[in-house]
Amino acid sequence: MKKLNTILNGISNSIPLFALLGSSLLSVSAQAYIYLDKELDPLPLFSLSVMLPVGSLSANPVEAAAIAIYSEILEDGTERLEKQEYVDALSSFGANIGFSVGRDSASWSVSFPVIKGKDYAPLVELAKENWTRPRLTEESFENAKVKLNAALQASLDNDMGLAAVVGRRWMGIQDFKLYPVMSDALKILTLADVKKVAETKFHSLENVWAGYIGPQGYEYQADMFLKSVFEKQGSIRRGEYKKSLLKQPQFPASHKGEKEAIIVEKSGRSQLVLFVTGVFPEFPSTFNKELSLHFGGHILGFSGLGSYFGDEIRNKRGLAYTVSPLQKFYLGKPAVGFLTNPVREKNVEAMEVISDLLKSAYEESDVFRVLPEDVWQRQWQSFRYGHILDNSSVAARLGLRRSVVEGELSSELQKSDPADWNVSRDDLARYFRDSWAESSRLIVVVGESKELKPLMKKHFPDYKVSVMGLQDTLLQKSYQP
Amino acid sequence: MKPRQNLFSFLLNTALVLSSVTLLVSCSSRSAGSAPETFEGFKRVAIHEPLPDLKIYEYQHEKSGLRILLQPRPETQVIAYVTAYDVGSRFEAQGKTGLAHLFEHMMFRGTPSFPEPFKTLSGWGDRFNAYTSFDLTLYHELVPKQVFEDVVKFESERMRKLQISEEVFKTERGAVISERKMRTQDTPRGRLYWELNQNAFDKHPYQTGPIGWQEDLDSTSFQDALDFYKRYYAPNRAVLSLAGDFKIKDALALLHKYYGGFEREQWVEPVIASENTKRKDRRIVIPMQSESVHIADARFAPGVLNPNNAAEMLLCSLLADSSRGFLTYELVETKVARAVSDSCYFLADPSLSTIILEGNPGVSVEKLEKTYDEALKKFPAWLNQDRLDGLKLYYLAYHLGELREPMGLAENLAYYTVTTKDPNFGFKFMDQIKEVTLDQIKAVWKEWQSRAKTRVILKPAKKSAPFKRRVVRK
Repeated sequence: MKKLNTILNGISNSIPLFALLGSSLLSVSAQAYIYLDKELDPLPLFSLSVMLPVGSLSANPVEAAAIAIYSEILEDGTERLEKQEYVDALSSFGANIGFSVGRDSASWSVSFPVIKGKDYAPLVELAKENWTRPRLTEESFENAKVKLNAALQASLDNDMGLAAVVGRRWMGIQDFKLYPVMSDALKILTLADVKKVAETKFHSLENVWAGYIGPQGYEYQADMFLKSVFEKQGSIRRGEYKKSLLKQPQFPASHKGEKEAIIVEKSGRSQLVLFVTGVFPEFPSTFNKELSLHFGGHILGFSGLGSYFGDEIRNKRGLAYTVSPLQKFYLGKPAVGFLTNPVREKNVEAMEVISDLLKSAYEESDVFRVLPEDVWQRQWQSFRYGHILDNSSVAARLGLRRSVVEGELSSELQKSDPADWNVSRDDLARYFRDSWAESSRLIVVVGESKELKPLMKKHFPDYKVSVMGLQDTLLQKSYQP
Repeated sequence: MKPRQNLFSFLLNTALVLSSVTLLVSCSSRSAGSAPETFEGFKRVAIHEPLPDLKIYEYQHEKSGLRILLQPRPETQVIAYVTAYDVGSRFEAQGKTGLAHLFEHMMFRGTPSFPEPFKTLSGWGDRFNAYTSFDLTLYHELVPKQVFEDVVKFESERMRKLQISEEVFKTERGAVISERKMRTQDTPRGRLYWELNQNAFDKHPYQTGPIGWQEDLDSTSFQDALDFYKRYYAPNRAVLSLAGDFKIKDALALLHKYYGGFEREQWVEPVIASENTKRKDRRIVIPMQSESVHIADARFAPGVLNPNNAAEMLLCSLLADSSRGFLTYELVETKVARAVSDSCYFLADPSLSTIILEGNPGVSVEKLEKTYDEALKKFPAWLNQDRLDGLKLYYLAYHLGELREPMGLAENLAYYTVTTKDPNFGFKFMDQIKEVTLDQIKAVWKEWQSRAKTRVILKPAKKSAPFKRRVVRK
C-alpha cells in the first residue's frame, strides 16, 4: 500500500500529495520557519490564513479561559485605538482580521477586496499593532468576561449543543470560546493570567504555517503581513519545522471501560436530544486498523442519511430529523457515535431502536458482516468520493496542506491514495469488536429525568445513569482551584 | 457580449492582477469547448459576462421551457449541480401550510432508477442538501465529475418521474415534525421568526413560515402531495445551474438525453393576497422557556425588484450588522445585549426588514427595549460617508468569497434566476450597492421610521406559551 510520509523530514516528500491536489503551488518563504502556501485565484479577494501551533488540547481550564478572553480582547482594538476607531480603520480597507483557537491550532486571518492603487502598508501596520499591542486593560478584560459568561448562559437554550458539550467534556475534549470556557474558571481568572497566556502561547512561536488565496501579484503582500506581524517581534525562533508540540489528550482514567448515561435535566421540551458515543481505547496502531476505523465510522454514521444510523432512525422510521455523525479521529483516542433528536411522543420507540442499533454495532459488529454487497460497494465509493470532494474547495486544499505539514494523526489517511485503500468486512468487524466493544461508552439525553430514567434503565440496563442539573453543565468540575 | 462596467471596474486593474485574469480566461475558453447557438432543442439565450473572466452560458429547452445556466470550471475536478424550483411556501393556502417543505423531503424518496436517493447521493460523496424558503425550493449536489451523467439522470427523474408511496410519505412527515420541533418549538430564535411572521402579516402567505403548522402537516394527504408535485415540479418552473468540470456540448448532450422528452406543464399564476402595509404598529410579548430576552423589530420592506433595495440593505447593515453595525456598539459593548443582527433580504412580494436583539441573561425586557429605542435616536449622528464606504467593501468581499467555489456561484445564479428571472441580478445588485449615496441612506432611514412596525418579544419564562393561530387568511 502506498503511503506518503509526512513532510517533517523534508519538503520534497510532500510533492506527490500536492500534485494530487491540482495546480496549487507550495513555496517556502525566505525565513525557514514560516511556510507560505499559495493558491492563486482570479477574484480580487485577498485571503491570508495563518496557523499557529497553539491549541486547547494541552491547556488547563484556566488557560483555556485565558485564551478565550485573549481572543475576545483582540477584537477590542489596540492599546492606542478603541474598538470603534479600530473597526473604522479596518473598514477603510474593507478588511477583516480574525482570530480563533481550535483544539490543535490557532488561526489568524486577514481578508479584503483588492483595490487598484490602494496602499496596504497602513493595514499591515494596523494588523501588527493589534497582534503585538492588544488592548490588555482591566476594562477590556472585564468586558470580555461578561460577553463570555453571557454566551455560556445563552448556550443552555440549544439542546443539541448542550448534549454535545456534555458528551465532549466527558470524553476529555476541551474547546475554546463558548461552551468549554467554564464559568468557574472565568471566576478566578485575572488579567495577569491572560497576559501570561499571550506571552507564553502566542508570542513565543517556533513554527507558523500560512496559506494565501488571492490574485496573482499580491503574494508579496502576504509576505509583508507575515514578516511584519509575526517576525518582527523577535520572539519567533528559527528552527526546523516540527510537528505540533502539543500533547495528545488523555481520557479521564475513571471513564475507561465504563458505560454511562447522563440525563441533562430540562423540562418542557418537545423533543429529546441524544448524544451517543463509544470511545476507542487507543488510536489504531496499523494503517489497516486506521482505515477500518475511518471506513467503519463512515458506514455507521458519517455517510449522513445514507449511513446505518441515519437509515434506521430516520429513513425507515421517521423518528428524528437529525442523525448527525460524530467522529473524532484526530484525538489520541478516537470516538464514533451520533447525535439525534427524536420527537418526544416517540421516545419509547426511539430508545428501543437506539438500544438495538448500539447492540448490533457495539456488541456484535454485525453491521459490517451482514451489509449487502451493493451497500458495501456504495459505501466504498462514498468514502473515496468524499475524500475527493472534501479536498476540492480552495480553503480545504490549504487546510489539507496545513494538516500534512502538521503531521496530524488523521493525515495518514488523507495523504494516502484512495485507489490503494482496501479493507475486508472481517477486518472491520474484528477491529470494532475488539476495540470499540471494550471501550468507554456514553449516552447523553436532554429531557425530563422522571420520564427518561425508567426508559434508560429498561433499554440500557448496564449503563450507570446519573442526572445533571442544567446549570451544572457550565461547570468544569474536574478543575481544582 | 461586451463586459459591463461594474463595481469591479475600479478593482483589479493592476498589470499583475490582470495577468492572472487573462490566464484564467484563456484556460476557461480553451477547456469549456464551444457553446453552440442551438443544440438538440436547446437554444442559447445569452452569454452573460458579469465579470471580465466569468462567462455564464444560458440555454433554454424550447419544448419544456427548462432554463439552464452553465459555467465550466475545468480546473475543479468536481461539478456543482443546482436545481431550483419556482415554488415555496408563498403559494400555500391556509390549512395546507408546510406542504412545499414537506415535499422537499419527498424528493429524497425514490425514482425508477434510484429507489433510495439518500444512499445514492451518499455514494456520490455525500455532499448534498436542499432548502425550502418562502419563494423557492432549491436542491444542490457537489459531485466528482466521474458521476456527472448519473446526477443528470437522477435529477431529471426527480423532476418528472418521482416514485413515492403513501407509507414513505407518512415516514417522512414524521421527520418533518421532528424538524419543526427542533427549529421552531424548542429554539428561541426559531420561535421568534415564526411569531414575527404570524403577527406581521394578516393576509399574505408569508404569515406562515415554510415549516408550516403542525396540524396542517398532520392533515396533509398523500394525494395533496402528488397534486403538488405535478403542478409545481415542472420543467417550466425550474432552473438548472451547473458549475464545474464539464464541457458545454457534453453537458447539453446529457441534458438532452435525460430532460429532452419533458414538456411544459400548464401554469396559471395563483392569486396571492397583498398585505396592507399601512397599518398601526404592533407589539407582542410571548413567554418562552429561554435564558434571555429576544426581540425582533421589523418594518415592512419592498419586494425584490424595488430599485431602492441596495440602500435598504446597506441601511440595515449599518444599523445592525453583528460585527460592525451601530447597534452592536450601543447594545453589545454596553453589556445590555449579547448579540445584535440584521435580517434584511428581499422576497418576491413585500416582506420584512428586521433587527434582531438577544439580551444578556438577566437583562429585562424593559431595559433592552428602552436602551434600543434610545440608541436608534443616536444613529444619524453616527452615520457618515466613511462608514458607508467601508460597508460597501465588506459587502463586496462577502460576495467575492461566495463566488470562489463552484457551488457558491451555481446557487447564486439559480437563486436569482428564480426570484428575479435574471441570472445577473446578484451582480447588478453589487453595482447598485456601489452607487448608493449617503443622502440615499438618510432618505431611506427617514422613510423606514415611518413604516408600520411589528415588534415581537420573547420574555423568559419557566414554560413556553402554546402556539396560537392568530388569524385565518382569506
